[in-house]
Amino acid sequence: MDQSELLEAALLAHPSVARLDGRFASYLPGRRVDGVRTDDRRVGVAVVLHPGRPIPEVVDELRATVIAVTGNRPVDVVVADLEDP
Amino acid sequence: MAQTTSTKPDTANVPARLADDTAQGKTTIASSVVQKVAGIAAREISGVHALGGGVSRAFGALRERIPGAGTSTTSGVSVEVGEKQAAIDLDIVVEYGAGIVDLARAVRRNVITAVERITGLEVIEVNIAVNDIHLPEDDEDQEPAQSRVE
Repeated sequence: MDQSELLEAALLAHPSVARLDGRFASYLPGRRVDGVRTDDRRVGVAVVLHPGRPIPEVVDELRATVIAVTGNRPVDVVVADLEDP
Repeated sequence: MAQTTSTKPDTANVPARLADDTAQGKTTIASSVVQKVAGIAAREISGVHALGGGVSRAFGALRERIPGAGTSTTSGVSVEVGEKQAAIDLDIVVEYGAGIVDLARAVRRNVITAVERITGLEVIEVNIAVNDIHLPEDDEDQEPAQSRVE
């Protein structure tokens, strides 16, 4: 499994994440993984959240989730939208 | 420090540093996020009949008739979002009978509280334009607008 798919699964498992946003993506043979991009130096994720909790708290948790998968690289988090309540 | 209190940082009161472009990475909050939070907070105040006014409200009504498009939560709300601060403009329609000055103050307070709590951005201003007043008889020939919040 590609690292981007592992990241996708880990992010979607978080209760505040509604879906990933397609403003950037990882392109794999046969499919694309929206909202995740990685290179040697940085990781970028774009998420759409359920409203309710303070976003900085959620982002901190997501960053920890990402680091658990990718190792210690800077993680750029884009909160692209909130799901309609 | 010799104190034994929790060392967990109090993130509830200190606005988080957004776009914290350090070793940890950068956090970006899209303006549509701020728009939605501000729109929900404004509607929560009783006496606010609707958001929008003039052109944007008419446009919102048009959008509602497009199947699947849903209500535009962001009509009547425009925002400017920087790295750490946000400025918000609201167009509102008030219920007849509401004291507009007090109502505007309550809306402003609720919007600031909600946006700062949810996004961690500092709200530097909330400009409120009252575009119309909603009279009870306006509802006579149409279904009463279904308000999500009382």
